[in-house]
Parts: sequence; C-alpha cells; structure tokens
Amino acid sequence: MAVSFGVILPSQSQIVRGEVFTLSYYQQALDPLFLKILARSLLLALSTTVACILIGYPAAYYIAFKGGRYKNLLLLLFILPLWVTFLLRGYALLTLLGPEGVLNSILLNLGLIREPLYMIYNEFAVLQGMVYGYLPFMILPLYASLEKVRKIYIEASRVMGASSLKAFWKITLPLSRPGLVAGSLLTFIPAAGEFIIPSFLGGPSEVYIGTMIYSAFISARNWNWGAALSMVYIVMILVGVLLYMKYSREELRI
Amino acid sequence: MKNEVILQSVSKSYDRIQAVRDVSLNIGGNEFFSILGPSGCGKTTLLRLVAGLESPDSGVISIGDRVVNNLPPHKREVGLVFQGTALFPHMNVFENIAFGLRMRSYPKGEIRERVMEVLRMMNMPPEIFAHKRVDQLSGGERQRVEIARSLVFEPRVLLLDEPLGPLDLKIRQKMQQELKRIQRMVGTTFIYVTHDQTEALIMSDRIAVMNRGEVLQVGTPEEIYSSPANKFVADFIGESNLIEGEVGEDGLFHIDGLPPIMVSDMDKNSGVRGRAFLCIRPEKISIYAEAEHDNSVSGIVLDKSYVGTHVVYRVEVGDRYVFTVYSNTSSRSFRLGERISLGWRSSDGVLVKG
Repeated sequence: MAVSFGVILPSQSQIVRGEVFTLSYYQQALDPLFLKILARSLLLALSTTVACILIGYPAAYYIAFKGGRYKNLLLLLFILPLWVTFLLRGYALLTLLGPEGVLNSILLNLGLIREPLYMIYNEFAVLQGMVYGYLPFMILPLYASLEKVRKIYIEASRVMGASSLKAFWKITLPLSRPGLVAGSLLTFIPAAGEFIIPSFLGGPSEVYIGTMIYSAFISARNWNWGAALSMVYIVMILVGVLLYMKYSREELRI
Repeated sequence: MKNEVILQSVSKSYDRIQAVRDVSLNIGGNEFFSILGPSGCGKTTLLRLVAGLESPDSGVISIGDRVVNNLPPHKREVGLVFQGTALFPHMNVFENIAFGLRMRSYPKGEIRERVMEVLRMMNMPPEIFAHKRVDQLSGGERQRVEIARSLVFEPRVLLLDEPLGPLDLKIRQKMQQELKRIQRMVGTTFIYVTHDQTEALIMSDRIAVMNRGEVLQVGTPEEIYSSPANKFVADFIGESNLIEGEVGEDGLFHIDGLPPIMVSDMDKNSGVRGRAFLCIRPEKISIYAEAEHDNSVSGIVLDKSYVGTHVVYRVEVGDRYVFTVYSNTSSRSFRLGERISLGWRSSDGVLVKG
C-alpha cells in the first residue's frame, strides 16, 4: 500500500524511502482506459463463474445423486487437472487447440474443415481456458453441499405435490446454495486477477488487469503503478464480494 | 365401507431381492390400518409403492377410484410422514406446513388460515411455533409438524413410516394417543408402518402382518392376537409359548414327553394336520400346586422376574420345554426349583402351522 502512494520507492535490490506522498499513480490507474480493462477483467471473471456454474452444477449434481459407487472416481477425474501446474496445462491447451494443434489436424484429416480453425488467441479461447482451469474449484464445494441434500427431503416434497422441477427449485437448489456461494467466490476472485491463461490463449489485444499488473511489476518495473493497480483491483473485488455475500445471505434467510 | 386403497397382486424386487411378493390388500376409508413386520420385511417398500416413490414390477395399485400405477407422486394426493427427520431445514415451521398448499397454488389468505388451523389441531399454538426454525423443535414437535404438513392439504390417504421410531417411550405413548385422536378427527385413511407390535395392537383398526415380502395375515388386533394364522404371527405378535407336536387321530395334540393336550377348537383350526405348533399365551396359563385344569403339565421353576404389573416365570416342563408364564402379583409366589403344575383351558390353546 505504501508503495502505491509513492511513500516507498523500490530500487533494484533495496527499498528506498520516497520523497513525497503522491496520488499520481492512482491517477494513472484510474485512467478510463485502465478502468475499461478492469471492467473487462471483471466481466471475464463473471462469465467464467457463470460458465463454471452452468457446467459444474449438472456435473456435481450427477456425481452426488447418480454417481453411486463411482462417486469418488468421477470426482477424482474432475480434480486431477489440479495436480498439474497451470503453466503446463496452458501449453497443453495450446497443443490441443492451436492452428497446427491436435484438434485441428484431426478435423483437417477428416475433411470436416478446409482451413485450421482459430481457436486460440481470442476472447473465447481465454474464457475456455479459464473455465477449464477453474471448474474444479466450482465442482468441489458444490458437490460437498449437494451430497448433504438428503434424498428424503426431495421425496417428501414430491409426495407433498412438487413436480420434480419444483422440487429442484424449492429444495435442492436452496439447500445447495452454500456450495454455490463458496464455489462462485473461489472461482470469481482468482479469475478476476488471472494472468497466465490470458497471456497464453489471448491475443495481443486481450489485456486484463492481471496481465497488466504482471507487466507493471515484471516488464515495466514500475512497482508504484503496479501497486496502485493492485489496490484498485483489490478494492473492487472486496466491494463485489461483500455485495455478493450480503445478497446471498439474504436469499438464504427467505 | 368403501375401499380407499386397493393393492392387487403387487410385487417389487430390487436386484433379485424380492421386497414385496404378490401382496393384495383392501384398505377401507377412514381406517387406521397398520402394516406390521420385522425390519426388512418389505413394509416400507409397500408404503413407497403407494406413495409413488417406487413403481411395482407387477400388480395394480389404486387410490380412490383411480389406478395410480403410472401417476407420479405429486399427483397421487397422499401424505407421507417420515420419522420426523424430513422437515426442510431451510424453512421454518410455517413454511414447511405451507409447502403442500403452495404447490397446489392456494391463495395466500387460505394458506395462512389452514396452517394456523392445523397447528392448533396439533396442540401447537401458532403464535409460539409458526416462526420457529426446524432445529429449535424437540423430537415430538418435529413429528407433529411433519404430520401437520402432510395433513394440511387433505390427502386421501396418510402414509406413516415408523413415525414414532426415534422418540422415547413416554413421548411415544403420548403421540400414539395423539395420532388416534387426529385420525378420528380428520377421518382420513391412515396406513401406518411399524415393527412395534404393541403400537400396532394399540392403535389399529386392522393390521396386516408381513414377513419376507409377503402378507401373512390381515385382521383386527383381537383376531391376530387370539387366532394367529401361523407360527410367525403367533411368535411376532405378543409373547407366546410355541411347542411342536402332532395332531393325532384321536383329536388330541401329542407332544413328545408330555401328556396329550386337549385343544377345544381343533375343528376350528381346520386344515391343521400332522406336524404343528401349539400356541399358548403366557397370561392364559395358571400355576397351581395341584392339577385342576383341562390341560395340565408339571414343571420346575427355572427363573422368575418381577416386572411390576405381573411376575414372569420360566418353567421347565418335561425336561426339554421351557414355558413362559405370567402370574398375578397378588397370587402366591413360587421359589426357584419348586415343583409346580401349569394348567390352561382347552380353548386357550391354538394350533398353528410352522
């Protein structure tokens, strides 16, 4: 924090005390251009979270209710990618989806396409990579809370007059909300600051807050600016998360 | 009386285990009907079949005048009470009870009215209970809320699956009376599943005794207690002395090592021929110093225990049989090892097949 206000000026190897207290780094960080990048990052994080819910909820539901004795195996399959570092998985996606990648060569060989599909270096590719990376963080807490939804609740609601769809809306979904909240936070927060996946799969124009902070620190070596950016980012996330938690808690009470 | 629930040759099996085997039952309107049997006898499966939570492999189930085989549970108009553990944890008492009404889109005002009314019927003042959370309720209160939420939408049949199982004795006895009161008040058909024979005897208009997926006997509590259809029923309902022997040509029942026994309704026990069991209830046997009954055997007191209302003697007879006998606390007490005579009227013995 002190760095962001210019009170501390870091040099190559040691930390030097700065001359004056300044807000100039914040001026830079709050420039409309950067705010647009920030908004885009939040949008990416949001769409990642939504996509993870859309894919993760049915998956977790299936494992919890229909998994039977394969429950643990299925769960393991979803967690397995976590054992490999993100960096490696980034390269894996590149080899899979790239212009000369596995998928394209298969499709080309089958004659389904004439030219390689551009599946990387665009926004959709970034989203794909993000969902791939964050899905386990959604599925695990969802599974944990869905597992605790006892079958007897659903059966009771069915006999009391709820169709299977109504039973899901009124019983299963509300009872799994803690997992949904936890999973969303676990996905949204790190997704908003993600910089590895966008730098692998995004095009040169795909700049997100994470990649910006990364380059501010590592490439530009402007620690003050980087720190200010981080502060803005942290505050935004904090406000967002607090609002979300307040909302979800109220929902729970009804 | 009109039959409300009719089962015709209903069978159901799970992975080669036959849970319900060719069961046919006619359950009348307004009846308190119990299905009694040991755990794993298929009684819960039978209930779930009626509720629509399982579908039968074969047979016909009808509720009212409708065949419901292909009707999903929410269209069957039945209530199902679990063991007080199925209340929705994310809703309070009011919302739990209102659930069935909301699913049927009742207007708000009527929902309120009905919930309040059913709470009062359960002796639960709405102003105290309506807004309590489920985890603030005691076991008995939960049970009553579960019954309330299943009764509030006026189902044709209320199914109860061992509803008093987890409660302790005192509350259970209180709830048994409550349930009878409620059943008389609302006049709905109750189908009550239990493994507790005392409970079934106390509460039911009629009882079906089940074992291994089959219904062995259907009848009033008196019928089932005094003339059990077979050895299993005799053994399962109440306590009984069951001694194996043979029906002789002379009209007497012959037991190895004992004098021939007279059984007065040998004719009524028609069909019982050859090897059979003599069933005598412990309270029907008297202990005398001298023989003076239709039937009498002599034995030695092995054991005695005082249980408050009566004394239980275990008496060894003919070196190989042990009789259980209930004796009045006011009558003479016998010492361990004392030689005594046991006597019973010929009409108190019943012959059953194994």
